[in-house]
This record gives sequence, C-alpha cells and structure tokens, in this order.
Amino acid sequence: MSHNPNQKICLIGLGQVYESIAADLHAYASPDTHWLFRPIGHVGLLESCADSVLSSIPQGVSLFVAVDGIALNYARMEIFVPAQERGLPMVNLIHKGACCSPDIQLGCNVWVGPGAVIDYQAEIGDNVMINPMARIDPQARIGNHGWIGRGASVGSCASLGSNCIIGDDVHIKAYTSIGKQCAIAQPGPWSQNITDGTFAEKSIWAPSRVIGEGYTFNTSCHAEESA
Amino acid sequence: MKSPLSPKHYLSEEIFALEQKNIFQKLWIFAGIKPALAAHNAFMTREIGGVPVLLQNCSGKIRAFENLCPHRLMPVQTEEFGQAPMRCVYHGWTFNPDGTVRTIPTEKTLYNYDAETRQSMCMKQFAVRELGNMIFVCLDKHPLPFDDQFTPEFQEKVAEASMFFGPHAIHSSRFLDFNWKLMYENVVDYNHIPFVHPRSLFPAFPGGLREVECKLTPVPYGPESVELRDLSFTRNIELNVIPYHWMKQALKHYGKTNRYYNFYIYPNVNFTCVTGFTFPIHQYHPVSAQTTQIRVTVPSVAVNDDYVQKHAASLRPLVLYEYRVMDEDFDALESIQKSLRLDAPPVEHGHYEAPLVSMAHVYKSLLNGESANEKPSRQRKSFW
Repeated sequence: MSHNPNQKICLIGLGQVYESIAADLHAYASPDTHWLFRPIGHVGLLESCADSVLSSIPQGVSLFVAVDGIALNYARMEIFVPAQERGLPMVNLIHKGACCSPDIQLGCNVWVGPGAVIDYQAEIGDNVMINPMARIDPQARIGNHGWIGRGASVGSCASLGSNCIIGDDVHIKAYTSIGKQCAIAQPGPWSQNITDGTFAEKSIWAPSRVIGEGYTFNTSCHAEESA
Repeated sequence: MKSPLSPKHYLSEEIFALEQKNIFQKLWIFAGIKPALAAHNAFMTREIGGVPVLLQNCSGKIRAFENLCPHRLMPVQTEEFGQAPMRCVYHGWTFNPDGTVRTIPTEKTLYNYDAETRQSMCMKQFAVRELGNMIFVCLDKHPLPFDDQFTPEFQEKVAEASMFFGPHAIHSSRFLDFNWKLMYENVVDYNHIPFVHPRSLFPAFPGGLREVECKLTPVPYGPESVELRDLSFTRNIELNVIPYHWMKQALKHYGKTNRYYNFYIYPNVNFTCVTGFTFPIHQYHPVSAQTTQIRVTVPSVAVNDDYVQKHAASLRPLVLYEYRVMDEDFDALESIQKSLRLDAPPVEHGHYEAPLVSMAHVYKSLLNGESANEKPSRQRKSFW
C-alpha cells in the first residue's frame, strides 16, 4: 500500500484487474490520494488511443496500467511501453492485504493483489500482474510483463522469462526455469524446464511451442562451421 | 455404394507397411515450412515414411537428408528444431552441405579408412521442392514429377497463400489412436460438421448446412476419371468469424477476411486459412496402422516489422479455437477406429461421399505400386 500523501494516480485500462483496483482504491493508497480514471472501452482501441490517453494526463500524476493478460500481456504493453518511453512516472499497486518481504525488488507498474505473498529476495520485473492469493517464493525471479494467476505459485529460485503467463492455481516448482513468452495454464504442479515460446495448457496440446526467428534460431547467429 | 476399402485397410500392419513403401516413400510429402528454417544452419528433424529426415538450411539452401551419421547411425541432429551445423554428437563427425563427410576427429589414428570407403560415406540426400513457404520432400531415388502429383493450378494457389506466412509458427503434435486415412476422409466428409461441431465450427458457417453442402460438396466423377492429381484440392466458404480489430490494422491478410480457405494436399495434409490471418497446417503422419501422429503447425501471418514480436505472442489465443475443433474430430475418429474389426462389413457410402470412393480407388492403385495418373493434366476437368 502506498502511503505517499497527496499522491495523484491515474488508473488506465480495462478488464478484471482494472475493475478490481477501481473497486477497492483505499486498499492501494492512502485516503488522501487523488485518483484519475482513464477506462478504455475495448482492447482493440488500446493502440490507437494510447497517445491521446497519455497526453491527457496532467503533470505530477503517476500512472498505473491495468489490462488483463491477453496475448501474453501484449495488450497491456500498448499503453505501458509508450508511457515508459515518455518517461511518465509509474507506480506499483500493492493491496493492503498482500504480504511483501521488505527486501524484494519490484520494477514499475507491478500489481500485487489481495492475499498475495512475495517472499524474501524475490525479483519482480516491470509491468507484472500478481493476482490475488498468488505466492512468490524466496529468490524467485519474474521477468517483465508477466502474469501470475490467482492462487498460483512460483517456487524458490525458479525463474520466469519476460512475457510469461502462469495461470490460476499453477504451481511452478523450486528451481524451475521457464523461458520467455511461455504460458502454463494447466492447474497443478509444474517442474519441467521449458524453452522460449512454449505453451502448456489444457486447451492446447502440451507442449506446443513457437518456432522461427528468435525461438528456434537466430538470423544473427553465425555458424561455428568454418570454411 | 460400398467403399473399395475394407476394415483391414485401417487395421493391418501389412497394409501399413505397403503404404509406407508405396505412398509415403514414393510421393512428395509436406515436410515443414520455410520460416522455421530461415537462417543458416537452422534445422528441423522428423520422420517421413518411417525414415528419419533432417531438413537443414545450408547457406540459404534447404536440403533434406536421412538423419543418420554413416558411422554408427546416430542421428546427426537430435532436437526437433534448432540451429547447429551438421555435426554428429556421438563421435564429432562433420558434414558438407552435400552430405559428404567433411571431418572426422582423429581420423588418421583411429579410423584408417581407405580412400574409397572414406569417399562413399555420406548422409543420404533426398529431393526437396519448395512451394511458396511450404517444403516438400520425396524419399524416392527417382522422384515423381511434381506436376504429376499436384496440378499447376493447385501449386499456384498453395504457393500464393503460403507466401502470407509470417516469421513464426506454433508447432505441436499428438499421437492418436486411429488410422491416418480416417482423417482425410473426415476432411472430405462435410456432413459431419453439424453433428460433431454443433457449437464450435458449424455456427461459423452463416448459411448453415445448405451453404456448407453447396460449397464443400465436390462434383462426383466416376472412379475411372480420378487420378492422383485430383486428390489435392482447394475450396472455400464464407465464415461468420470476425478477426481481432488490431489484426486488421497491423497484419497483411490472404484473400477475404470472411472466408475459410481449404487446401487438401494429398496424401496427408490439410492446409487451411481462416479469415485470411491464420494458416493452420494439419498433417496426419502415420505411425502404425492404428496410430497417427497429428502434427499441427500454425504459422503467423506476414506482419509489419513493428509487429513481429507482438504477433508471435498473439498466436496463442488464435490457436485455442483450432484445437477445440480438432479435439472434437479426434474423439469421433478414435471411436470409429475402436469399433473396427477385420470381419466388419465395408462402409456403405451415400451419394455425397462419391469422392471418397474415387479417392479410395486411387489409393489402392498407389498401394499396388501402380501409376495413379493416366492422362495429361491439361486434358482433364477439375474434380472439385
């Protein structure tokens, strides 16, 4: 919970995270915090309205971008990235019912929902949404633009690359390594190390993976094979 | 009309062995997509007709080899996808782009091959043909002329659609308990759609069954006029699916955004384009008489540079729908396979299934090692 008196926060976005924060403002900041709201009508409008929304925010106001996890959180990036490029100040919103160890590292635009626990020396990147009742164990690392579902857990020393979605009630075991842009949405324990772009969820045959440039090869990679 | 195929064609391992030899090792088989191999030393491995195959980008040229080191028959590449030079992990042999052995560590002290043996050792190379962004491989020593398997018109259409592939794809596979032929029969048999997919695929056809029937019914010809070239076909139908708003702005698209395009690539690939933005490629890879590996590759669509990364991620929700429809098909086909027995009567096809009868005749010709094309393609009417 932020205790900065007279703080001004602008909440931008749509979806459940946005609604949840808007419905419980006092749990995220002191009562004298001044809130502004910039609801977005539809996810398809995010990109086209990013400029106008960001331009409408008065100076001295900090932002929080809340858009649910569509397409590995890229929808939220439509606002987050331009805001970051403009150097606009962004806050973290930690629910008063969440429990965070004082020595954790948080990026910016991080949401920690009610009942979530972040244990000692955990590292959370920018633009990460940690849903209610989720648990981040000691020294776990979560890359930028992540999404940790309701009741999910990330075990001690486990690491998640950027743009990862961990679904509701998924439990990443200690020391597991998950690449970037992965989605694990099969509730239950997960202990397999997986490479970039791997999807494991009920509705997609597991494991599915992204193939192509940046995932299974790099065009900049020079062959070790010499003439 | 009775099907020319009996239950043994779906149950017998002997028939399966014949299929491997006379169909999958003889015909041009879809092997992969070019964007998965778009850099030097990018590779993919898979099996075709029971043979381990390696597709490798050698300085821009895609080549196909039997994925076996001639020394101890170790696979040269062991991952399904990756990027590495052709170097056997077992004893470090390396290979030239033509498959010949390049270097052998400690060759002089440990191997002592004579010159003739040394020269004869190489990875077996197979014929490769690119059709747009689709890669085909033929395992036969004397590959069938490509035009004998696919008409030039068909080739043109597949090439055109596949040129819209973007730089990424989602790839997955799954083993299922049914014969691979049930899957292509299922593709041709449009009449299952309202019953097997009542809430998923069927509502996407705005005209209902009548529209499906009009657009997806092939014109039945007598079996005598159907040839191998006819078994690959294209068709399209209006779809009641709205693409994501942002996709319309950011992405290129093939054809019209309200249509479902279908390219069946005989023997075992169903390549579709949904709303112009996604291109699911389903391959029914036979593993045994009663087991099929379903290989699904869903390429992204070509994008503006700014959107490359974004679109790779966006593939995930797009394929969710695809998997749901397939799972419905697989439940039905596994039930059919389970109930098959050798003494069961042959299938009794209705009028609308006449193409299946014709296809079965061509299949049987192929199985017997006979030429399945009798007439030059230009003199023939379109089957579909």
